[in-house]
Amino acid sequence: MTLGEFEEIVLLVTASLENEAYGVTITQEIEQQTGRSVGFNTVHTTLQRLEEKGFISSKMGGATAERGGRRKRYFTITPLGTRAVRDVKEIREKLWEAVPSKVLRWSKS
Amino acid sequence: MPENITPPNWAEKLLRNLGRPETLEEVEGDLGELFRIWVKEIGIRKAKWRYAFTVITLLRPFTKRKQAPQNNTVANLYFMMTSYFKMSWRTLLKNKVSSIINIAGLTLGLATSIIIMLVVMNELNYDQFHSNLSKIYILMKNQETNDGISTGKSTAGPMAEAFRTGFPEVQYAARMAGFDEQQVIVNDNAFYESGIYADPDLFRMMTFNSFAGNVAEILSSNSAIVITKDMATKLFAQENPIGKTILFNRHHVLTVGAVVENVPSNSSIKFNMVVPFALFEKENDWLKKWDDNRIMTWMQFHLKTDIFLFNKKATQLLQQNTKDKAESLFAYPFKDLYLRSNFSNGHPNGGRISAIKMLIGFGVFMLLIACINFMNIATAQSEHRAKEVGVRKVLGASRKWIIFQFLNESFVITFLSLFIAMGFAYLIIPWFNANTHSELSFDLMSFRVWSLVLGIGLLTSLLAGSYPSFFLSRFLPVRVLKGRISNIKGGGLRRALVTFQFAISVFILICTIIMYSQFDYVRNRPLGYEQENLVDVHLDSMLTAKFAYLKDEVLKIPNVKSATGGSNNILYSGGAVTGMDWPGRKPGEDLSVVVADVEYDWSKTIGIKMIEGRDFNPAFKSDLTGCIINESAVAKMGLQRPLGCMVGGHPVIGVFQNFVFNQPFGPIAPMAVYLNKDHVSHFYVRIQNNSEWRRTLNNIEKIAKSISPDYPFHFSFTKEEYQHRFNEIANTGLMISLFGGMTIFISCLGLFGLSGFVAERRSKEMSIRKVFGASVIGVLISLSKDFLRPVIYALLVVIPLSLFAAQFILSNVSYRVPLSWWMFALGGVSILVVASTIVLYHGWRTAQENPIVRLRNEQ
Repeated sequence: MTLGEFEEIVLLVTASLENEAYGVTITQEIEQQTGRSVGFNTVHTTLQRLEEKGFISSKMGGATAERGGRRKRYFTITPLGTRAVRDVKEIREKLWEAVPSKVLRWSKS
Repeated sequence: MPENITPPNWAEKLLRNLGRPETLEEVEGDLGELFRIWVKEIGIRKAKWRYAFTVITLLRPFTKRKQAPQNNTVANLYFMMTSYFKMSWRTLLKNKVSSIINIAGLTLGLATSIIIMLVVMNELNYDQFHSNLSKIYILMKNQETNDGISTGKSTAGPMAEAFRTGFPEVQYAARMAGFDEQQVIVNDNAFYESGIYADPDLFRMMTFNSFAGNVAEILSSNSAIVITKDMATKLFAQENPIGKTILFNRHHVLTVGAVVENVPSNSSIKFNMVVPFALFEKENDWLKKWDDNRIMTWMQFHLKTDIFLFNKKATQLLQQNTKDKAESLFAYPFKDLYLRSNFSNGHPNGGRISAIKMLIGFGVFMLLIACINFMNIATAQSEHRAKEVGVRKVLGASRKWIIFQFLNESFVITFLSLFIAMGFAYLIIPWFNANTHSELSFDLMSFRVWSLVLGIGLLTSLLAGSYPSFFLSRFLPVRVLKGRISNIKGGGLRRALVTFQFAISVFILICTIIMYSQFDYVRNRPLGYEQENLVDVHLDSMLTAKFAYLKDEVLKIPNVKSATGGSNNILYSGGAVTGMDWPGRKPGEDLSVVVADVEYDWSKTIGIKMIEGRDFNPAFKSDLTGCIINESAVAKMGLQRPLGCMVGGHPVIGVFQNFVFNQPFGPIAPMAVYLNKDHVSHFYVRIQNNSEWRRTLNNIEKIAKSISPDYPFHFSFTKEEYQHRFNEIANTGLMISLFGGMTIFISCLGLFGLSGFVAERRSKEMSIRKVFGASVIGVLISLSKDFLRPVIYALLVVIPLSLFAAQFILSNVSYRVPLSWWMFALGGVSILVVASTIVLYHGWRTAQENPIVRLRNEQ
């Protein structure tokens, strides 16, 4: 199963937020961390897709008054998801190592 | 937060109604939270817009989940298909009775449809083999008479030549006339053949392929003929016929110039032999007259000809030459000639095409009835199938696949029936051809036939399978598996369908009964002359020339009572003429009168009663110019004292009683009879009714042979000939009633299956009723009520309808049976009796059972 670039970001953000990962926080966090503006709908559909693929799991939280009694859906990363991001990372590192250092010299600074 | 800072109302509603319901709660919450953040960051207005935009992007079509891909793989489809076919086959074998009923009904319906399809194809193909068909027209003539405009194909001789020379839009024009029984002598062997006289242009427009010789060129000469391949074999056996000579009609030595393919059976123009028209013209002066209409005129137009203009010009031409304003001409397309040949008051008014439409309607109804059987039985069995549907749904089958499964079942049954029906049709066609004088062939190599047959099968299976599959796939698994299906709907529709089936059956039955009584009525029609023991001997020109001698000799035979001659067979008495004058005729009045020439002793020999005056008598020389007319002519002309009146320039010397001629069903037309022994071609002999008739006929033959040795002795008993002709008409009608019988049979088959099924389903209920003291009669009534009610409704609806239809159809027949109540009662009662017998048969079996049998086992 492949992992897209945006999916990878969403997955990592979900993991980083630990117990506080739900639609709003994930959207906000991505905007803050990457500096790009993302639509809620994009995040929402990506979360749905990741869940379908089995990389994250979700459960509903308790009802809170501030949301008019509507519950939040909290997301956590599954072991499969962990392995997927780790695989991506390993592949990246391998690729980085394979690149001769002089090639990348100019873009470093 | 102030009250008015909320997301836009409409966007929230949109989300609730069209968003995905399973994630609605958290999405709504998340969006609300985000909205408050946005308000702080970018202001209320922009936040509202952003909210609305986000909602729209979250609506169902945009966030639709992808279908799990593994459901659509080819391999899975293949396995499901094999599974469905296996299931269909097992269901077929499991419910043997209903399968047999379904297959029998569908087979009969499909076999009939196939035959009807072949008949229709054959009819529609008529004359279609001519490659210039769309440009070929036949000249037709409208004649205004007192009874309206009469339309005919007989036209005057000079028309074709005038078109050819004076009408630039006419590419070809040809005259044509048929002949019967002309003598053809080849190497001293005499044959009597029929054929046509034709102008060379006829073969420039029509497509009759030639094996040898150029047909049009051959016909331009006066001395050569064209024959068909079969005729060549008959006359010359295996020899090459080209260049051989024949003696035609005793006077003309002609050479065979060309041989053409046999004329296809679906051709309006039929011949074995074509003789140049010029030869016919030389011997018949009337062909030069503009007002003698006896031959056919064919034209081929150039493309883009204005037919309307042509009609006007042709009519003008005719009226200039005849000075008769009552006649007009028009060109009628050859392609319509066969199917739309009826004219009423000068306008095309159907013809065979109406019969074809009726046949197609009939086929559709039969298939419909067979499909209804299938639907009824399938829905009645739904209880058995409901559990299966429930289990399938629980295991993940979608409604689409359940529908597919049941459609598949109907496909299997229909195509099984279709192949049986094809075999059936194949076997029945020779019998059908023999009985209806048609030439159908079931060409299994033809792509068109196959595609039509398969198309019929496909439509039928869709029709039959559609309702059951939608009905059965609707079951909710939870309810079905809990066993709560006693209130299955569909009973109402089933009853409506049964009503419909029986309505059609009763309608057809009543029509058949009326048709039978009509034929019977006409069979017993008083003919006005004595058909028994009347012999009609055909004469050739030699026998006609020596008619007086022939008659004298024949009268010497002991068993011959009397003899006479006539220009026509008494059954088909001659052609009609118009323009006849009579005393008291108003200007512009015209009448179509049938004319015939006869010999002395006519009324005595045929057995026609004279009402006034007398028959022709040799004692009066003046009779040679006199005429006798029938009652109908007297009535139509309004003659008070007919004797001595001048009718058409001849004094009336007698009036004879009407007798039936031409159409057994039709009105009796006015007729005028003249004395002229030179036109006699039929010799009527009244013989004694005794065992000697064979010898009497032998003696007549001997006398005829002594005069004209080559001429084959043709004779017929008038009664036999009449009956043969009558039966031919009746046979076509009875063929339709045979189809009708099949429709009724299929309906009854369906009722049998349905009532049997319901009787079984309610058997436990009936057992309980019996335990509580219900009588056998009570059980019977409660079981049959459900089924007999639709049949009775059908009767109530259809009887007035069929009365109306019968009156409408019979209004076209002049000698018609009076409708009476028993025809409708017989139809209704017999359907009721048959239906009751079927329903009660199952009821009786259930009612007779020992209640313990059904109550002991709890399934």
